[in-house]
Amino acid sequence: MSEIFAGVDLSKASDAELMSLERQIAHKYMNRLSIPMVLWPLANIVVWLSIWPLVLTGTLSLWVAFPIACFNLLVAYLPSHDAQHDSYARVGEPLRWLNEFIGHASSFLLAYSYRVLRETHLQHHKHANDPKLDPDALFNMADTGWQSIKNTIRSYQPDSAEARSYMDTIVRLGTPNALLGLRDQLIITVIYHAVLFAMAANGLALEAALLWWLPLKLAVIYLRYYLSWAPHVGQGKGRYRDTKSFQSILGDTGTSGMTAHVVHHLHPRIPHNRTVKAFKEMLPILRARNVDLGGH
Amino acid sequence: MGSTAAMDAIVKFILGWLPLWFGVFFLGPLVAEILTRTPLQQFLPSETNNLLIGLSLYQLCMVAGGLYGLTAKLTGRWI
Repeated sequence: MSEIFAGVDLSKASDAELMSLERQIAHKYMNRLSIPMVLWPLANIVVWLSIWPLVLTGTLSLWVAFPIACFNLLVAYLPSHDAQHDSYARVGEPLRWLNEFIGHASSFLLAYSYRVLRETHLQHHKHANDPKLDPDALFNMADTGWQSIKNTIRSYQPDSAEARSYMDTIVRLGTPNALLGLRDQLIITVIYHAVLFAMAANGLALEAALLWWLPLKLAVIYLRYYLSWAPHVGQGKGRYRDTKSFQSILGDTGTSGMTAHVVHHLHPRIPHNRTVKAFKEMLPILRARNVDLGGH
Repeated sequence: MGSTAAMDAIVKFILGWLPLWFGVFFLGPLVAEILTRTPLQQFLPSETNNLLIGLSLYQLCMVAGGLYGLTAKLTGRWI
């Protein structure tokens, strides 16, 4: 039990007292740069970029490189996600450049604009589970995990509602940042396809497919399943009602820490690698708030 | 303004028909490579440079990829 709860009877605590305790715990984990979350994207990008020349020079087998690339793309989103919430540094802080660099660089692996991801993700936080305003809601309307996977696969169709969801949000927002995101996405889409086409033109389509195209498709299925569907399926609206905890045979690590996603929605600036610890410390408060803790 | 409108039209054309380009320039060559660079090549004829109406395997795959991409563009679905 956290020392913050010393002498406090949570069953009798008022709403304001619970909020104060929750914030005290959150602040323990926020406002300090997380070095692992800095090293993570840098190492990930270096490894992913390295496997290309290694494969093309015949130093590394394509069949060994493929699962490495899958892993690289699987873990590329979370540092970008931290950056979207200014976890590395806020506007005006000395390390703001690092926040933006990690955000842009990590998102590029996913062939997505960091600005688009940030603008749409902030809308997800603001309107979680709202079918009209949450750009992720469409993906999360699935009773089963398999249905969630099918929703993601549907987003790969050229003209599906899922494929348009993020761009519709960007157009609806119409803010300068959103429009910059649109421009970025255009450039990234052109670069991504130019790389695929150029490699195919040089007899390297298989390499392009197994180092970027297929790993990206598989990674997005995983990301949509654990980072979006699992913590939000069946949830309503409201601070303590829009996200749930859950348990998985893959554990906290195998689910990318999403078992503690509820804490992320409460305090998004907590760096990703500290969220599970913050969740465990916050559990008595979450119980007092009747959060769906999925057996925790 | 004129050049901006022209640029918009070019971008819309390129991105609007992306499934077609993707089929021709990536999926087609990818299928050709899967057929020629994996054990599947044992099922191919020994001569692949003149398979059908003078087209090579690569060219045939690009045509097939293009038709698939065109279908995806027109129907809005790959599968």
